Amino acid sequence: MLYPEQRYLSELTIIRRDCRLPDEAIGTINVTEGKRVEVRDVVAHGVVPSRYIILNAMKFFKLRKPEALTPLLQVEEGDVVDPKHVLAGKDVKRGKRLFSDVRAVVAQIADGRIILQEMPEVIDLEAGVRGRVISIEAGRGALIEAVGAQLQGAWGNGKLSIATLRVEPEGGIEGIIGSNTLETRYMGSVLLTRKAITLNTLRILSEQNVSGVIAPSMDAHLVSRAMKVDYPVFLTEGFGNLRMTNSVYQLLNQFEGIPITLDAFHANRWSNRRPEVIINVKMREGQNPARPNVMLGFRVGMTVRVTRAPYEGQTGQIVELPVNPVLLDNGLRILCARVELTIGETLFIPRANLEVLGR
Amino acid sequence: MVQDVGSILAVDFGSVTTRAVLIDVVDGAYRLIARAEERTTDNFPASDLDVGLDRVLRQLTEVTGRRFRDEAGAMISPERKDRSGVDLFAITASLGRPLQAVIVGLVPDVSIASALRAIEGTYIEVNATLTLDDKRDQEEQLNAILLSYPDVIFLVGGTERGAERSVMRLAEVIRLSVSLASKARRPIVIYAGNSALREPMEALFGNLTTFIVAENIRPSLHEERLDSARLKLGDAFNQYKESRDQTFAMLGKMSQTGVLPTAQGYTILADYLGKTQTGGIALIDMGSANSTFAFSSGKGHLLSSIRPDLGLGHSAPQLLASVGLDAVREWLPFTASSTELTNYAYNKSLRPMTIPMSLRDLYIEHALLRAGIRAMITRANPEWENLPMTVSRIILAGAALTKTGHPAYDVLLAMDALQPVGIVSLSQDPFALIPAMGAIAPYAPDAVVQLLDETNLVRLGTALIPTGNLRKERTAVDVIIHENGEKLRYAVDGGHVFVYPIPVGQSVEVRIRCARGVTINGKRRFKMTIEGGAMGLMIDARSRPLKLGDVTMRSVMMPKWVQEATGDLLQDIDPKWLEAVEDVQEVADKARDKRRSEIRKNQKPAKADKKGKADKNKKSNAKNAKKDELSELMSDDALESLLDDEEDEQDELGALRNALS
Repeated sequence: MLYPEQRYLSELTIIRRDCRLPDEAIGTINVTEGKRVEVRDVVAHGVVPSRYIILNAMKFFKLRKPEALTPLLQVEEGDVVDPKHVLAGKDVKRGKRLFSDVRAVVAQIADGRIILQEMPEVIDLEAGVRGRVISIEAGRGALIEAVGAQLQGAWGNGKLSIATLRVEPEGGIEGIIGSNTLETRYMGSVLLTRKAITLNTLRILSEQNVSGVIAPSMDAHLVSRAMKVDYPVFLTEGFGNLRMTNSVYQLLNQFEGIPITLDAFHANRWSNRRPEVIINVKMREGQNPARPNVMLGFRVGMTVRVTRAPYEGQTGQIVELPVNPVLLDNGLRILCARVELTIGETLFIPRANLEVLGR
Repeated sequence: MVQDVGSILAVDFGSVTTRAVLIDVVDGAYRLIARAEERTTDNFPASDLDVGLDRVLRQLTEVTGRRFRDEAGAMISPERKDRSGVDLFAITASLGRPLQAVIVGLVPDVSIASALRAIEGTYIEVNATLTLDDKRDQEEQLNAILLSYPDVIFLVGGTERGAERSVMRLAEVIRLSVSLASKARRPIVIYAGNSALREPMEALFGNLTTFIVAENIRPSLHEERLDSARLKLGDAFNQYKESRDQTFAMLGKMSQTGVLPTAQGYTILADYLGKTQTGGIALIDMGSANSTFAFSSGKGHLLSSIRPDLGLGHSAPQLLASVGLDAVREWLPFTASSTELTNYAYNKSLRPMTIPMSLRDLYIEHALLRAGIRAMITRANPEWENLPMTVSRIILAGAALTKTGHPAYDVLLAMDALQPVGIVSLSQDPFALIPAMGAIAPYAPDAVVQLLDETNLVRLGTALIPTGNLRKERTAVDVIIHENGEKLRYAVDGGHVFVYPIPVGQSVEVRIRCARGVTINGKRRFKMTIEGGAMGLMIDARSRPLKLGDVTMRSVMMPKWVQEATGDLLQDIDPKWLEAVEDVQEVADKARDKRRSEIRKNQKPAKADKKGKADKNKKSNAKNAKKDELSELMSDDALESLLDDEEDEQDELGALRNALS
């Protein structure tokens, strides 16, 4: 294996943002190739199908044949109806009438039945970056190229927000609620914490109406809870009680008070996207943002991050790339790199357990 | 066929690794010339499989000097006079989303059970099932189908000349669901039930969506025919992938053979070997996202199982959920909390390629592997839960079973997971040669025959597994090995593993004498010649089924077995690891399940009360009815949130307790 995994962490890079509707959504794309977009521009509009309701109109009106329903119909397929809207009846104002209980679309009228579909969930997908549309996938989404800071995370709960980044107070997130004064400065902002998320953290953040949280880790048991909260939960490292990689924290810390796009994309087993934080930064003179290097191979001197226990999150430099497999303490013989960690230790680490944090 | 197809390049795109093999004709026979592997590059930063392909091609070029692409970057085929390019470029792939399916059938134990076995022939994941005794009303059934967004609906049921009306009733729900789905996303409907209903089914679905008919999978209650249904499900998979999966479509255009699902390569080969060789053969591949098991009994009977829910990387959380925590713990020489195991599995899914660095992590990884394989084989054949597998050849594939770095360790894992008996020849396929053979078989059948000789696969060696009255710490097998004129004697005790290395290309004479009540393939004494391999000879004198004992016993025996197999230093288990773990999460989960069933139970008498009171007093009845309706109306979500609230309280108490402690 000659090429390392890359998980991007860069102050200034060329970002390719994949704005994509969820798989189950049926959508339309609002932008064209080459078009410039702003952070808040809606690039795609989608609807997620919702529940169907079957109303047996034939039975309701005690009809013998399905055709007998036709003269009673007060709606057509495709109509949007509100609660108490008359769906069928001889007269809209009196007599026996069939009402809709919910706001819905008339999906089908057949076989003496009226089938309603509850109003589908509408998704307006924002660009999240200031950039240019470079390609479009019909009905699914658009690829936007932009310049800015980018941090790729490990896990997200599927929510997205664009809000100002705030670093947690000294006492941690729990400290917000512990203070006697009413804390409002975190309301509507994305909170950065260095501590693992707990159930209590999720609850406090919900109460504080934050727009998102960036944390190193949380227990996998909390996944279902995190999926239910209405703000993005973004993990930089993974599951368990893991520390945030220093360089990750340092990068984010310098953007405190700046609006960021927090896309806590929830990757399933087959998706090839990652959750990411994007910050649109203005380029200074002389700055030259680079593209991620696809052909970046392992080499001596390269800075890497370890992704497995007991050294997960530690960074260091590769000092040697042995050609033959190395015997690890646990008995495996694996192709490794010898890495000098910033904590001072030098050891053999499987190449598969090393990530490059960008160029 | 050699004159038609000479050089062959076969590339397998896995979820984690892209592997390539170059095959050519040497001295009139097909041989593996070179191989290469790299990371699959459908992810950041390349997001393009072609990058990974290019990397493996470069590696092959470095080794062989052969160019594979022309100046424009297109694959060169057929082979040119300057020996650039190849005659055949074959592609197999296991990456990407499996087909999402809804299974509809009459009876869970009959038609649905057969349908589940039929879908194990390709990459299909079941999102919902619908049966005749489904208690949900039509509206709920409709929503269950539509909101699981199926790619395919597999309708089965009705023996020949059996039920018709019930099957049609189920078909009506499907028709309604399909008609409501948006036209661009209508699922394919495959019918494999009572053949008398084919015409009415065609009338129902023919104009609505792609409708495929297969042979009835249960022509009678005692007969099961899966071949036709499997074939049609395979067709549906290919049709879906080619039309809706851009990656597959792109790969398909590059190759003359199209894209063969990796797992089908194993099935094709197991079938072929089963027909041409004596004794059973088992092929097992545990990948990151999917796992495949193919078994041929040697009597024309083929079992195959493709499990998109079992994998050690992308699908690790699904594997854990599927086999359960206890099944994994059974393979651990220490105590582990549910939190530790769940975190491990979820982290593995985030970084599927990573390798355990600590001893504890390694045991968890291998516990998932063993439990996953056990689950897969026992579902394929429930008899294997208690009876050993009789097999004469085992081929191992997938990184977990081929890349521990010690061949005997790989074999030990296979012995634990498969638990075979008798005399077993073992090989490994770390280069994805088997899927390649499946893909090239229709174009160069001779290649398959010639490549199967053991110089192309990695020959591990032979395992002898005795059965019978194996007594612990008492000699089970006496072995006399004749090598280079020397006569070496060994005694293998019951409950232990013995490995004798025999280098590749060498062979030794072995005399076996089993203890009283112990036999190998029914014989107490025999002699045989054993060919060398990466491992050599293993005698596994552990009982079948393998008795692992409690955690204390496992903490002693499991490291010992590893030491006996590999010859490495004994890695003792830290006594602290055996201390009981206070598994707060598991206790909370169990309490939650109990509470859930109690709440549901409490709702039932309310209904009975309602009926009783109805006769006495209409007014009070109305009041009660309203109350009961409320409790009945409490949906799963409401119940969930009620339980969440309760759990929150428990968590708070727990947090307080922790703080105080």
